[in-house]
Amino acid sequence: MRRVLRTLWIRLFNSALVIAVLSVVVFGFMRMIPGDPILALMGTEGITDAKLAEVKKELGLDRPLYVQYLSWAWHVLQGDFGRSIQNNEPVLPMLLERLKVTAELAVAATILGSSLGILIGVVSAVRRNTIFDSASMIGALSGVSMPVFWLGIILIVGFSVKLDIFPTGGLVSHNTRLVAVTGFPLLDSLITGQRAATVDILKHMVLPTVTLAFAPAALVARTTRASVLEVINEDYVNAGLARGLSFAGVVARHVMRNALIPVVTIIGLEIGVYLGGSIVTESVFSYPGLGRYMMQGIMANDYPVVQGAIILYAAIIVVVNLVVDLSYSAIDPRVRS
Amino acid sequence: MSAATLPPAGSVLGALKLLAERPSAMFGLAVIASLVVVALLAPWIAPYAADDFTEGVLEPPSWAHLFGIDQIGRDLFSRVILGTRISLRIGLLAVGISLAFGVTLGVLAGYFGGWVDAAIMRVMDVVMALPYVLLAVLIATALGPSLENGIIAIGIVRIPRFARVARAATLATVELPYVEAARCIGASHPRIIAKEILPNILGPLIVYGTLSLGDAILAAAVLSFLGLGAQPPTPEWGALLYEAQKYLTTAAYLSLFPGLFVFVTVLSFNLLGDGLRDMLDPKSRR
Amino acid sequence: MSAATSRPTVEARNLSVRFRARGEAAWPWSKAGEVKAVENVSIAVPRGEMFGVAGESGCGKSTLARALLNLVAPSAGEVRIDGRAVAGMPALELRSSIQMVFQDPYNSLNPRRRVGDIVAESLVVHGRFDDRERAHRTLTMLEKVGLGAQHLERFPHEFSGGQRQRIAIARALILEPQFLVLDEPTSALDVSVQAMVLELIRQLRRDLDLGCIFISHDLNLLGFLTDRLAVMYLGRIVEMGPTKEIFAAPAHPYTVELIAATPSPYEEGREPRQPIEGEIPSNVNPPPGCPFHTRCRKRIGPICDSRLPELRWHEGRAVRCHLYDGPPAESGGAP
Ligand SMILES: Nc1ncnc2c1ncn2[C@@H]1O[C@H](COP(=O)(O)OP(=O)(O)OP(=O)(O)O)[C@@H](O)[C@H]1O
Ligand SMILES: [Mg+2]
Repeated sequence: MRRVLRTLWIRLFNSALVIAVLSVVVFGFMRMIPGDPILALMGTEGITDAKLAEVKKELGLDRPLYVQYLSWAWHVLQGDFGRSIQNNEPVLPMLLERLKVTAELAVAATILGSSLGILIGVVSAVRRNTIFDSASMIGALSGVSMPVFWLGIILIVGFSVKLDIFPTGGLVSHNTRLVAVTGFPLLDSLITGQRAATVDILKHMVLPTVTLAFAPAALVARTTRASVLEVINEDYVNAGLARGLSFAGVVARHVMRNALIPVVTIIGLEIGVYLGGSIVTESVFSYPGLGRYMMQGIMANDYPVVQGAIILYAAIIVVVNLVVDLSYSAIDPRVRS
Repeated sequence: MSAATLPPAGSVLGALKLLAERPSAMFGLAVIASLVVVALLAPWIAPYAADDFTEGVLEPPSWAHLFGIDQIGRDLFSRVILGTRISLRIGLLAVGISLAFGVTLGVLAGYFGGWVDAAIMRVMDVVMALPYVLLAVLIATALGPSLENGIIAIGIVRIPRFARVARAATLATVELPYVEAARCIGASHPRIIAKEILPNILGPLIVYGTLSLGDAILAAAVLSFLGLGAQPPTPEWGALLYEAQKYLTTAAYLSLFPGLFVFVTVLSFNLLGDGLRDMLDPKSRR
Repeated sequence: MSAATSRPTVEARNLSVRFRARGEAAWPWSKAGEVKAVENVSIAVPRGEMFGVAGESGCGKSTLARALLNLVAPSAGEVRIDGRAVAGMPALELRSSIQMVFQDPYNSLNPRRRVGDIVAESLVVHGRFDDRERAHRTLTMLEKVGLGAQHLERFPHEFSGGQRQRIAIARALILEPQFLVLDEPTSALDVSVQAMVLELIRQLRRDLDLGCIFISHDLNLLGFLTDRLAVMYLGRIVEMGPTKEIFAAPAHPYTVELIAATPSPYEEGREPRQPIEGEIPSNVNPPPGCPFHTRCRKRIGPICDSRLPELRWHEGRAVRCHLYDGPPAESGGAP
């Protein structure tokens, strides 16, 4: 117990440190960006130096960098991420709104990717060295090697342009009106009972979800297969067989429980892959999530938006990793070192 | 990861023989070898220069133009072939950066341990906290969009991963008696690192480097696709896809071929890397 | 035990080595336990002597060896060579006066270097001679240990364990040290090979007038090879003296049992003798009093569990046991 507590302390401290250092780095990077946000905002024409200085002063951009950082960090700690340079709206609510969109996509992709990956991995391991095994492992390696955006493009070409089953992108069709309750679009449509909207949202989600789930599914499949193979040869499997359990029974009862520990970890740690992938996926499908919002912020040199988005990403990843790590070390005493 | 060791005598021929037992790795090696040949001979293989205009625009593939003609009349086949050189170079340079810094940091951390280790690996943790793509985007943005900055961004992003691999391998090696034996005869730290440690951690580094080459090429394509890496009209594969994106509905073939090249290249590096890993670490062999 | 001998001597004076126990502390600020690997050890080995160190696994033999070469820093006490503290000595000077051969011949040679390079490395590091002279000396050294020119270009994995240990010996001796520490140099070898390597060591010791510290858990070997012997238990020396006398009449109960537990070389084929009863206590929290009292059959009373016996002079050797607390002066008792 003391060890677990100690681990918890150290991990918490490390996580806080990571985010703190990262915030400095991000802040520094944003200021390195060539180009001036004010000019990006107002256009270069018809602007006097005096006017420029005035706007800068208003936005606090005339103060020394470290003062800007400290003031920004202080506000962030209080939940104030500043205002967007583009439209002067508070950043945090907008970030959260986009994050909810991304979250629904990421959760859908996680469910799809993990279940598909585990299924393929287990079957490959059990049917080891069969055609199914080879084919799915080649498939898995292809999944890892596939450029996410290219996969998205191919899906669009195939299912939207040629077959016209799914829309090419966006969150909903033009004529669909969403009623915001929680801010999670799919959830809201279910809550308010707008069946048409639900169907529309789901239709728009299919291709991005598949795109986003592909690489993680491949990784999970490879991990699951390796981990099941490791467990399957151990004695209790033979013992189980000797006791007259069916092979499928042994697999279901013993193998899965022991083999899935590393798999669950991988899934938890994949959060970074999903979030990273979502940036690209949202770009391809014009999906209005956090990733796309951040890319737009980058293009517009909108510091507060980009800084806020990155801190948010980092916080999510760090927290998820922390939870995965700790629950993992609670399950498996061996890693408590 | 345990310190995988190369076959002791370290002969290239012996390694090839071992590798030959793994068809998928050999396939990867063969594809990579042909890509290298294509890259070297690109100007002679490509029927047109990168910015030559031929007759017609947005023409689908034909015998005269294997991959079709793009929106302003350039031969896509030529551009993809010329892009091979660019993409392989990106991979090598980016991995070179990661390797140089990552291995230095990782070996120092593993060799000296203590606070050196703690300091280095804490920094690496920070860098690793962000998704790969996000960090590359961030760095490329900060440096300004260009091919060179994209390479630097991708190189930096992978430094912590190389550092981890190098550190783990170093940790497994410093404990070995021959390192202590070297201290015992009075060898200096730099000499021990150069003569005793580095040659013995090459195995995992080669494996990871190979896998990284594919990843770096992939990441470069992503950056260009997001508009942050190589800029059109450079025929880098990701940049080709960026340009082709607007013609998805009318000319999908423009997206097909550059993407296919990225995919096959990355896949080949992964196949080779996996094969090398199995070869060096018999425990993982299945 | 004074360094008054005229011969150059390697000495440990009240040497202690402690390690931080691995992964022990519960909180970042709480104090971690310490492994007391070597505690208050004093030895002096003059040139020309073959000195043995015996003891069960984990009693600190290797740590003592490493401390003698300044490969680990002592937590207390010091090592002196020829009267000079090794801690302050220039590294190369120290390295050219004392060298070491490691236990595991399969890991003590870099698998990626050729044998010629491995042996010559010592000279390169010390910047001695030019390439030609180095090559010449390397070959001469290899020949001294029974190898030849045909082996120069080979890699370690092409050699047997015995040959590898010869290479390791060559690497250590090419620097012409005065002292050589051998940490179980033959324990990984087959018996037949062992004998040949031991013979080589004996011969080199004589030819080069080396002071050798030979570490082993094999008492037979030490009895046959060494002039003097130190028996270690839980980091401490419990008995030290001329090997012959210790074998003839072991004084410390631990030594008695250790010798009893060793199969005699003349009873080949018989079952190995009874090992010593009981578990070796932890060296993080050693038992109070005499460290051996938990397993000792000759415990004389509560004093054994409460007071650490001192090393005392007893019949020509040093013994750490309350049995030899001098005249039955139990009266002189607790201070
Ligand atoms: N670097 C270290 N850190 C922590 N503990 C150590 C370290 N090196 C040795 N120890 C501990 O010190 C004690 C003595 O180890 P040492 O290797 O000296 O024993 P030994 O007598 O040589 O044993 P063996 O016969 O097995 O070689 C052991 O308990 C060991 O675990
Ligand atoms: Mg030892």
